[in-house]
Amino acid sequence: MFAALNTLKISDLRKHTDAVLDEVEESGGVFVVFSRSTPKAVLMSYKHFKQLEPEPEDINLEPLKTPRGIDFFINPPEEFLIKKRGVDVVKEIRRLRGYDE
Amino acid sequence: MMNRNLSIDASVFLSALFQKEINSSCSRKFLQKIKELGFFVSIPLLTPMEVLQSYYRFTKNSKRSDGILEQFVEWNMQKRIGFVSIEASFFLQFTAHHRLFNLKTSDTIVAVNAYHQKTTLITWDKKLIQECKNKIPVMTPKQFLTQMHV
Repeated sequence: MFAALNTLKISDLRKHTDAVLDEVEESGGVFVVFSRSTPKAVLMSYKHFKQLEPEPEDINLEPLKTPRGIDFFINPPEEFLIKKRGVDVVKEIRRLRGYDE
Repeated sequence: MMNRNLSIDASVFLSALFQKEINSSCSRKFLQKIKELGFFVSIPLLTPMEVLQSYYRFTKNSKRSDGILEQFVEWNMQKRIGFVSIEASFFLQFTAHHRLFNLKTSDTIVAVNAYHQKTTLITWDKKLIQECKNKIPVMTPKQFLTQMHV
């Protein structure tokens, strides 16, 4: 038994590497490795480590919902559509261009 | 035979953004068609400016208005639309050709751009069509779709 209060000494790790690793694996715990009275590293079983890994992200990402570029003008999103009735866009542009009609 | 380059007037873009406008669905169908057929669009910078200004006039929403600009830029990044800057080289073209057209300055910029770029001008403005016909190829989106047998 090399681990005490979930800590390991670096000297034990150096001298009894295989035995320490077996102990870590069997216990399934997490151990702080001390060197010169300072915590330097964390050691845990591979099984435990795998459990900590985040789930792989879903790679089937949804396609972007907002049409972009020319697609935006082909199919403008609802919030961009102007719903006012009776607008004559030609008159509007001609007004902007200074035609007095 | 029409080449693969078009100039599109502000009335077409604006029409696409007005759900209830009489030509709205035709404008969008036209844009869909030019996308499918791989047409390249060349417009003076004046055109998106007019679209933004007019869009803002109706919505008073600067965020959405900026969103329109963003989509023009996105379209430009897709390399299917080019913006012609109104600067020195365009001014030379304008100087050389503006007398062809009896139009106000903004209309003349649109017409000279189409003339210089050798593109077909697409607009809903019948008066602009009347003035430009016989000088440059010009038609409505509806006429374009008819020519494309849609």
